[in-house]
Amino acid sequence: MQDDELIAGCLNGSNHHFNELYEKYAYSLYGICLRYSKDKDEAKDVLQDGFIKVFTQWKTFDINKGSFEGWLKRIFVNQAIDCYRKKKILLNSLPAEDLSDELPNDYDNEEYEFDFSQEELRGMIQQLPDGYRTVFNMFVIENMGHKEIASMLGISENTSKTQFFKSRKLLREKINQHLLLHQRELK
Amino acid sequence: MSDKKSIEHLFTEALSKASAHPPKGAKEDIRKKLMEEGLLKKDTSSKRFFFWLFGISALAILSVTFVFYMKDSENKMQQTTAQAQQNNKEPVSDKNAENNSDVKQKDFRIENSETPNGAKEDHNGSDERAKNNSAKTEKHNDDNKNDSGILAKTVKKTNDGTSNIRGEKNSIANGEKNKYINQRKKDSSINENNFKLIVDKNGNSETFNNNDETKIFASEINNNTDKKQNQEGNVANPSADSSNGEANNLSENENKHSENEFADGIAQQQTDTSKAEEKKQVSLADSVSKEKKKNKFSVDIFGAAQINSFQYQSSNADFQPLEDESKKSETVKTSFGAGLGICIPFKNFFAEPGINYSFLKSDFSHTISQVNIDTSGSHYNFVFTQVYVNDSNGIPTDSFLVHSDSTWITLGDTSVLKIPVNSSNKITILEIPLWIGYKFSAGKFDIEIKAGASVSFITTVNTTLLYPYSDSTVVFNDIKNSPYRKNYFSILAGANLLYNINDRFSIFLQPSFKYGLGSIFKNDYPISKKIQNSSLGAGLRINF
Repeated sequence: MQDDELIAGCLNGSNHHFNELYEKYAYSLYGICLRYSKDKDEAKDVLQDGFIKVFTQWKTFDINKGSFEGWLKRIFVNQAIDCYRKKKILLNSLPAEDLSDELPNDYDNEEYEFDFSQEELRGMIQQLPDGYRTVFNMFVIENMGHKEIASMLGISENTSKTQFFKSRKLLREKINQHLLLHQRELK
Repeated sequence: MSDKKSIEHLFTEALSKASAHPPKGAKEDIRKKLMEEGLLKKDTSSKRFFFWLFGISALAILSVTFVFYMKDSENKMQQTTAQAQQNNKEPVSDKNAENNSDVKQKDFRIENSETPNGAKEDHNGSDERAKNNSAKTEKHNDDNKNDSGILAKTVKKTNDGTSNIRGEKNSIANGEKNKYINQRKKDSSINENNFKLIVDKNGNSETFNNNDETKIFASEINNNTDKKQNQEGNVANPSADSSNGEANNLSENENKHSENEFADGIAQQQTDTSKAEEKKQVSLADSVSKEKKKNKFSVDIFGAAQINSFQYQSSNADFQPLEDESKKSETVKTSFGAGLGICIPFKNFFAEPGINYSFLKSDFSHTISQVNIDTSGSHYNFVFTQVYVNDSNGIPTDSFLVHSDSTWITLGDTSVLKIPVNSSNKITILEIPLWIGYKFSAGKFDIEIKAGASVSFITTVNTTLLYPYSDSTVVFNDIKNSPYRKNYFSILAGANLLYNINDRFSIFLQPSFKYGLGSIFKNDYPISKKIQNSSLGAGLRINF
């Protein structure tokens, strides 16, 4: 079924078209939700909220201005970010920050040769604190700038940078741990 | 060997287009949520399926009960036919076999066998006549004895309240009656077929039918009495009356006495026999009705509308605000349910296990106060020290800044947002009740008073609850990961008002009350929630 047909059917509230939409896009959208969430339950909530947002914002989509899939992914990314923002305010916590204008001294540009699976990498990201995970996703995978990230998350640009660097450091440690484990297994 | 990749490259390549299989039930949860929000049309396909299923099940049940009903009717007809055939085989030759007064007459004849015996030879009659009379009396007595013997046998054989006794008695009684009629024929014009009495004591003609034999014979007796009185002179000379039949040979006083007794006896017997017949009919009706009511079991099918109420209680004072807010935020709505019960009677008592399916609906409404802190104004406060390098004369030759200290200044602009949260809560419950009750019957109506207990299983939840530890809400769509128990116990009280359409079907109204004994939340949840439920149901009972 073509996207415009799907959109028209869903606008009419058709269950059949919803089924089609879900079967076509739910897998990739759930992948986004998993990246931003710490566990599957949270990811499921983000998926549900995302679909509700899609159904309430049909009118904002213009098929001439971009792909439907891209529009969907954008909505789900925004929904995941909104969830983080609500959680942050609800828990009334601010991430501990250590800010500096300069890059940390231990910053490196280490490269890896090992092929990690999607699940392994996803698992590493899910182990990050909420703020680090969100910033890392937005900066690395969504390719947003720190200024944009800062405005979306309600933080400063410096905070965004620092959180990114810290997340990177933690991920590097996890990758090294995985590599060590893998080497032990080989032996 | 793969190319070396930086961390960013590694994650981007692997996860930017990664997909994953959503968990089971996610699609249906999303669909339900969209329907609740009005963004998707209600899915009628499943509803249609259930309507079809219900319709087919109802049709199947009705067909089965109709077949049972027809079979039952056939059996009853066969039984009735067999009984009728059995009745017809009995020696009921007289067409007046059903006449009650025949029986009375016969009974009276047996009891008052003295009537012929009581005849005393106190008139001037020939010994021969007296001998003849006593001989006839003896013969009559013998006949009575024989008949009573036969009657006794008959009674013994068929002493089961059926009409066989009456038939046989009637046949014997009719024989006696005919004898009597023949004897009395000359005195009055009695048509043995229709007992049409031409002349009564006053000389008026009246017509009596078979049921008025008492009148007939009483009237006849009076006639005879009058005649006897008129024939006083003939008492001493009974030969003058010899043409009137041998019964006139009795002495006047004894004749009068016996005839009066006879009339009184018939009247009394008619009353007694009619009462006996009534009793028989009543007992027959009772036995039939008892047969009717001896059902093995009954099946109740019903639907009910329910009004629920929730009872909250906090575990300690810390959660009192949660208890108060929970009461305010939830508004119950009318719910519905349906059920099936099997009623097992034991005399006037009954036990009724069953199974009910119902759902509890309520509206949830709460406002979350969300604190928004804007920290965009936060900044570092750096302290630098200017270092001058002086020569030997103390003249600065060089200078540079040294970063000596920095302090983070946090600035937060606080604002409070009010976020309304509205949702519809729904819990589905499968209940297994056990009722015990007592039945009162009043004609076509029955009233049952019952009480019992039940265990209820919470099968699905789709609810929004207040989060116990902060001012927020939590949505639960899965009972596993929710604070709800899987089951809870309740006590029940109720009544049935039944209208019996026929032996097979009854319709009923069923008001009932259910009181939850335990909380539907788990023990570790800081507040408890009990459910009370008042319902009014209506249904159909099928008797088997």
